[in-house]
Amino acid sequence: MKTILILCLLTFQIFWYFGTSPAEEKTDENFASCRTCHTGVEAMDEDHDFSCVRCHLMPEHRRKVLHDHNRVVRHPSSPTKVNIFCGPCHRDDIRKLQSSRHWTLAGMINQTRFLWGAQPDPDPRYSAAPCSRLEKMPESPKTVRTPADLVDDLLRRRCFACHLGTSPPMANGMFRGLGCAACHVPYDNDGRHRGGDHTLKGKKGYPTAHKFCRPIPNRQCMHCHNGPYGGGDYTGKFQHDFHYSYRTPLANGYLPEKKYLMDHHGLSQDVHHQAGLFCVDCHDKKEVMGSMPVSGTGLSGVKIRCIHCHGIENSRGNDRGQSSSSHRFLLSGDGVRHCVPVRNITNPAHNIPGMEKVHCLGCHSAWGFMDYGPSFIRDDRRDLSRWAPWRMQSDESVATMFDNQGLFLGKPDHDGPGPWLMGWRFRRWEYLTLGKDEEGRIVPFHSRYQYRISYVDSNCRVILNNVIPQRGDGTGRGWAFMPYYSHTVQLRGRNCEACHGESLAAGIGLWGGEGPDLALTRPSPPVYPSMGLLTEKEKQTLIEKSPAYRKWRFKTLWRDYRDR
Amino acid sequence: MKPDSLISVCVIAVIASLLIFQEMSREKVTPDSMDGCSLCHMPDTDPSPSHPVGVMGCTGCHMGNPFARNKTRAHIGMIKNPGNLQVAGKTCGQKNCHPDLPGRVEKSLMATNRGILAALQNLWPHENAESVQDVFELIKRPAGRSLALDHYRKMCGGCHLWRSRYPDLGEIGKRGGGCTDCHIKELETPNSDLSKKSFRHPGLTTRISTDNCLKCHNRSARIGLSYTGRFESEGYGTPFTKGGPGPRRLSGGRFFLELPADVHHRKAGLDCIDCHTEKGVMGDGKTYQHQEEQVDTTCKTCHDPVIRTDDPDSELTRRLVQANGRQPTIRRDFFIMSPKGSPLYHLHVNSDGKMILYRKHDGKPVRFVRLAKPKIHQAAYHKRLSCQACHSRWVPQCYGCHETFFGQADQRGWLTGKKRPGRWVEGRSYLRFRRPALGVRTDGSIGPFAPGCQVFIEAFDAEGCYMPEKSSRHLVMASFDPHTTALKPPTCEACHMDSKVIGLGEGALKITDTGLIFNPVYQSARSGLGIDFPLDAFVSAEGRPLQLTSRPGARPFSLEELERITRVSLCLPCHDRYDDKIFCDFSVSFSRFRMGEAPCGKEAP
Repeated sequence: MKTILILCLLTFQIFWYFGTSPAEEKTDENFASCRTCHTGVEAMDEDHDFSCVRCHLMPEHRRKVLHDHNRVVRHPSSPTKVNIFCGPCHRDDIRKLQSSRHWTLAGMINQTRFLWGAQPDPDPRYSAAPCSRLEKMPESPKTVRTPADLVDDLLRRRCFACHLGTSPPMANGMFRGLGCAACHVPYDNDGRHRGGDHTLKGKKGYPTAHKFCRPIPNRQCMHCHNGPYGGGDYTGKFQHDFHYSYRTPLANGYLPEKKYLMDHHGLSQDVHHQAGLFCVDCHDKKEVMGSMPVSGTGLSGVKIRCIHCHGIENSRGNDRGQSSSSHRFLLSGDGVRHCVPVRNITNPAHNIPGMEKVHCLGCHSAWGFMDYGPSFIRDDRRDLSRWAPWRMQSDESVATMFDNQGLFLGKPDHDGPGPWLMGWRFRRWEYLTLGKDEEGRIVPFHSRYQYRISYVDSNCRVILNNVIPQRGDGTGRGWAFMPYYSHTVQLRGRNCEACHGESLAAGIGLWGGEGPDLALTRPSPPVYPSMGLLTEKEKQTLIEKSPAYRKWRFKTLWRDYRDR
Repeated sequence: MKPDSLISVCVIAVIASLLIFQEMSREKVTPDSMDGCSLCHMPDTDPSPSHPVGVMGCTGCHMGNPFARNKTRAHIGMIKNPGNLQVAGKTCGQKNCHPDLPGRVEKSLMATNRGILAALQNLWPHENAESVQDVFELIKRPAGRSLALDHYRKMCGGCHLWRSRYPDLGEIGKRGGGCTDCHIKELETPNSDLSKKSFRHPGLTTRISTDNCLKCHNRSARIGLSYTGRFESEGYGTPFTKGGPGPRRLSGGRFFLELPADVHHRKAGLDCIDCHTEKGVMGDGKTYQHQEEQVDTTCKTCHDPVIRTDDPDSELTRRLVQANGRQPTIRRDFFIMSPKGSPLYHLHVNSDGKMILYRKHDGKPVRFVRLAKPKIHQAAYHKRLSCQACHSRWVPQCYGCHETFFGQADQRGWLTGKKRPGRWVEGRSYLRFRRPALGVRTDGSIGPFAPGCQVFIEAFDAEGCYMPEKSSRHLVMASFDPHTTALKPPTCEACHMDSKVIGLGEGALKITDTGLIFNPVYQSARSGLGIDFPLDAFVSAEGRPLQLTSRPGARPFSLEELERITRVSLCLPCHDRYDDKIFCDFSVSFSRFRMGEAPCGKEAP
């Protein structure tokens, strides 16, 4: 009798333990058999032909019964989960990724914090995601007195929309995965699933198919790198100005379809893009996934050089032979064989004494994003309808505050801090200003940081009124021009007159840079002391026509004139 | 006396006393006032010394009944704005005042808007049966089906002299009003209550402030803005100040940036009227179609004047000087006339031959240079260049004018003040101010061109359905003096080697002996524009015009001209002086160089 009672109790315990858990909803549904609903779902690839739970359920939840579908891990490679799911096999890659700029955003964070006076130098000390060598980025304090008190909030809520760990905007062109999937799992621009999974077919916010993409197409990079200084350059997309009167053109009665939350002008595309090269053909795994020491400066991650493919010496590892002295062949990631012209040393333009220190892009960039005078405002007021004319500014939280007619629908977070809004002073693609990068090469410089900052609290008090931040080391205002490797390569370089005799290029400013708006065309020193603006002597040399300049200019013109 | 008679006398005396008392206490029209208006309205100041209220009264200008003492009767036939062109013939233009002026003004372009109407009707979707020549004709017509004229009624028609001032507030309310439009000295704060015994009367002046011109001339070519150093910006409203868009605003929700003003404004402080004569502005009685036919001044009028020793119209000179009231009394031995024969009474030539202009608004002397540097200005190879081609520092350029017509919404028309079906919404592609394209103007000279206008029309009917038959595009480049004069001209290379300045647009230019090779930056097809050339391209590298112009004969450079202009570039690295002999006959010089006969030709690679 006693034994029967004990056996019954034991059986009851066993069923109780395996049948239920405190957090689970008592339901009859069992989601443990994924393919009952997700019929047709593909294996990611041959090497990842696992059971679903291996990637999509935490180890403690992998039982025969799954009552709560919310336990399914949608993004197993997200930074918070990657060590659990991808880590066991890819530990080394993940460790390197976790010190890469994609993970830490160390450049963006520390440069901006330095310029806004929140840290004494731009050297990396904070990271966006957990990193063994850097600290976690602080939160902005509740009380705001200076720009330094706001910078972390700006970074988190305006800039970090593009980070491996943040959910992307649900907007055309911007759908993506998290973590490794951000690059390695393809998402179409409309975010719809087109794979075999019957349950997900046609739904938004899912990958193109349940597969890895190899090679990684440019579309993947463009989910984030779609704007200035990268993807926008390469694919020839220049954002329209923000005012709604720039929502043009209508075509056959229809407004243009926004991509990356904006309308774009079509400008000339980088020749490499026209040739069909992928971003990953130049920016390989070593660059993109880290394996570099953590460093904040722009060049620390990028190692590709024009001469790696176009130089006489120093060809890259993926060369596939040399057919002549004037061309070699490059095998791109998708297996296409590209004929790569070698730098023509008979062209006098490539032999000018003194021009050795000019980067290729000094002449071979067709255009660039020269965006002057950004004004940022955080507006905590309840009524933000005054900003309706500028609702299209490449930011989802601002865009969703208004309907199509510009009617204000409400703050994204009704009781919380207000959104960050911004506007430029003016934007140009044809302007060019020069400076020197870390290696002393003369490169285009970009007017990146010319901040003016405002903050209005929820009681409508203007706490910061159009303030220019001061650098954290006390050396002056937190404005900077930075080296800009515009991805707008053209076969034929700009004319010499684009820089020689041109006050804008020399850094003197347009028409002397007088007045509050033209003053923006006079460059500010870069963030890092290893970079620099042109010296006064260099400016003079550029403006004047020395005998050597005259001679070589004539040679280049004459060579062009007779070159058929 | 009998008691009855005494009572009668007393009654008569009482009645008489009462009448006398009433008469004594009644306010009378005093010898100081000319008409009954002063019973209720007595301005503190006269409109101008030549319009004294005490002498002329009010009804001389404002009409109404000068004899009535009752408001309703007194106001019968009264005009609030005597300058209104509908009545100006009877008010300002009455026999002893300015009889010749209203008739001239009615024919002037600021009243007729002929140029604007012609451009719209020639280029936009239009019903020919509804064609009009000028605004006055259009005002009398009911609105029809023409999209061109509908656009005028609702968008352009706010700026002409037939328009009535009031009741709108702001800049729009101040536009129009006939003579008053220009001649008014606006009150800083408008009168709120005219019924008060004393109030401030707006002034009248011949020293017209630039601000008056800018009420209208801040649109279209933005000439008034450019002159004063303002560029209508891309509308960001930055920098944000006091928690919102900044204060550098224009009417209509626009914003501006600050660029270098015209040297005449910046250095000399000249107003528009210092160059633009009364004949040029009010017209000479003839009806013109285009502004360049009516404008009565050129750069050379002052800077390379024809100096006379006699005054062909001394009476007019005397009257103009008197009306201005600020000119110094100086003995004159030399006289300068405008192209249409107006005496330029404010220009003087010193005994040493130096030029002085006495500003019209304050009489301050401004010394200025006459056209000098003959080697530059009389170089034969530049004889077609207008002053503006070299001396305009910048030109506002608005690329891509996207006009959407929504038939299902309403919009107020400027001519009637009433809402009518159909709403226009304007958008644009992008703006620029640097380096405008040069081209050949209608008179054969070379000058700057800017979009004027590159119109893309999309029309929707009253049900909101797209109307492809009414949707169209026409891209037009127009030449005008941008009023951004600068002393220092650009370098040779800035024109001869700049792809945008010669009309190709931004891009990479290669000059070869078999032609120009050009790779443009702007890709219109990928910008969704449905055209196969860049928005900033006036002409192709093969010399094919890509856009229309707004005047007969106006055009971009031909292929031959493009090749001649760019060929000079080969020599400019060394030969960049105007007096360089190779430019005496460049074709010969170039041939010699090609044949190896020139000294430097031997060094050619």
